[in-house]
Amino acid sequence: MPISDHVTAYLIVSALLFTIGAMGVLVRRNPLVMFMSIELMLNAVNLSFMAFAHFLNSVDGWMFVFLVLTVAAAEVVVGLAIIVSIFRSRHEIDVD
Amino acid sequence: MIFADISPFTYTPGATDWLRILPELILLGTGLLTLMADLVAAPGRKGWLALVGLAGVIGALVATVMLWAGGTYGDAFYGMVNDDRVALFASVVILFAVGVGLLFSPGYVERQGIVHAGEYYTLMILAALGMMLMSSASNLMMLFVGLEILSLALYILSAIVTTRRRSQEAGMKYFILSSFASAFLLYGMALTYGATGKTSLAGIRAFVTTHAFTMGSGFGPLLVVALGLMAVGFCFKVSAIPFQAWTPDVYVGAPTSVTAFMSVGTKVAAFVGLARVFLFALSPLRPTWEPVLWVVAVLTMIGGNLLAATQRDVKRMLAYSSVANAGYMMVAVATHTQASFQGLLIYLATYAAMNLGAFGVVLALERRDGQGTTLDDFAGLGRRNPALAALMALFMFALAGTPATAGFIGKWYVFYAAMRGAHVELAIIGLLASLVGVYYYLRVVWAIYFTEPATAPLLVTADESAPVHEPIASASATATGGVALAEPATATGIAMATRVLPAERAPVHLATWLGLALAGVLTLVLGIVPMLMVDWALAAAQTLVK
Repeated sequence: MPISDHVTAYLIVSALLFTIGAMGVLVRRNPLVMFMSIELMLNAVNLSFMAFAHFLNSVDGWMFVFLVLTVAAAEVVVGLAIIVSIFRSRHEIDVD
Repeated sequence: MIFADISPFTYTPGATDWLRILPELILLGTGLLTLMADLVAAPGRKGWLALVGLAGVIGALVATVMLWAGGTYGDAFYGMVNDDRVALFASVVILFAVGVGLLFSPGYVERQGIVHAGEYYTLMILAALGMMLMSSASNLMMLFVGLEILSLALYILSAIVTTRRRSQEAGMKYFILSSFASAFLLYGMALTYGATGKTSLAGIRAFVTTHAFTMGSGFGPLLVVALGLMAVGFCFKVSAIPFQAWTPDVYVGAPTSVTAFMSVGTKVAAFVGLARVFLFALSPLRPTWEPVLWVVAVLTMIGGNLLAATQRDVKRMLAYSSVANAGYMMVAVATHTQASFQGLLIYLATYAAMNLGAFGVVLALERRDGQGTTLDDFAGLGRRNPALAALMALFMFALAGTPATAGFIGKWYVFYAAMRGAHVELAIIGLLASLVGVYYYLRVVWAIYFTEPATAPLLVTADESAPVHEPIASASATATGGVALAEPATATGIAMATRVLPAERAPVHLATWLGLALAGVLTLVLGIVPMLMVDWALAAAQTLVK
């Protein structure tokens, strides 16, 4: 499967975003920020999918992006609900 | 499915497509039905929602068996899911897990004061739906969606005891770390797609079979990174060392009925998903990924057993034991033969029976505040509650791998497969590691039968001294020679009402007994007459590993 050199630029940006997100999860201790970092990782993956879909001229990548977006939205709902529920009972949030 | 050029395209699912996912559809309907039924159920009397759920689970089980007997296995929904024998075998195990989990629930939900009982049952069923979808996925998209359906349901279930901080923290920990791992898995999938141009597992397999894999081939480096990322994601999901850190905290913090269900269900779904990706789609790349999984298997077997041996809390010990068991299952994946995949399926089935049972006994003993699961609480159980003690002893002997129980059969087939697959060293390491396992499993049996409760009678807190418990408490105190109370007969009524032995809890719910009996019977049946299951597992293995 020929992958042209143009896709490399997108992949590098995507890898950078993913790394920043992963570092955010590992370094930060505030669940909200960790949560945002995870969203960043998912969007980095989306960028990869879109770049591949474009350069491979295939629809699968686009479809995958829609699924990831939907899942990410569902994760926001569940994640924020858990964080709010903890905050209500403790009035502070910290993963430690 | 790849489109060479993007052109107008329609796909209309036919009756066969819907028929192939009939078990999943029945579960989905049941999940929504319990949500509706919750609206008409009187508060405090939500136990019958479990019955609604159970009816759906049995319906799905019947549909699964019919699909197995029908014998027309194949893809559905444009290659998204399939109902091959692997999927059906996994579905039966998952349905058994959720069925027993539902049986454990009514008594436990009531005792723990879980207010969102309706949502609880719905989420249990939806989590099982996600597990079944994941194990029947034949496309990376479906694999991911199934994984997320089960994960999202389990995040909420872990955090559902709003009055207990540990449960809420377990939910958040699970949520953050599991989404983190999902992102890795997803990135791996993206790179696999980029390297092969396919998202269907069959397409990926066809690509890596026909294209020589070298690091200079353009897609080679992408595929290596993808393999690593997906291995990380899957290892996290199956709680293999070094990605096991979340397991003990989440398993201990979550409600025990949920722990019992998810320790089995997620393992089945994640291991079948792992097998589909690594043993089927990427099996031509075996030399690349095999050493990694070999190391993970060894680390997990040794580390899981050693960590479990240091625990005094039985629930926590079982959490680490599930890590150790993931190691044995990883042996099956790492050795990569038809026999080893058969071994993996057998191990999953036997593990389901004994692990559900062990968590079920812990659940029956757990007090309202979430305490009461340490080894000291098991002391003297043999006299206080002989039936429960005998069941726990059975499950512990089974987990330790004693012959004539399910655990022996599972270990036998996995280690046998390791030797057949030219990995004798894995079998030897596994056997040595499971010797450590014998120590900590049998320590529980020792506590049950050969030790006395060391603690003096506790003055229980107000919420535990429901008047219902009083007759049991006094009767038992008299029967056990009044270890606790000096003179039970002359104690005043008020004292009687507020004093119970540390081990006296609410009587075990009838449904819990039923679930325990089911798990116990299956542990024995699979141990004594396993041949039917072994044949089914072989038939399933033949469809996936060729």
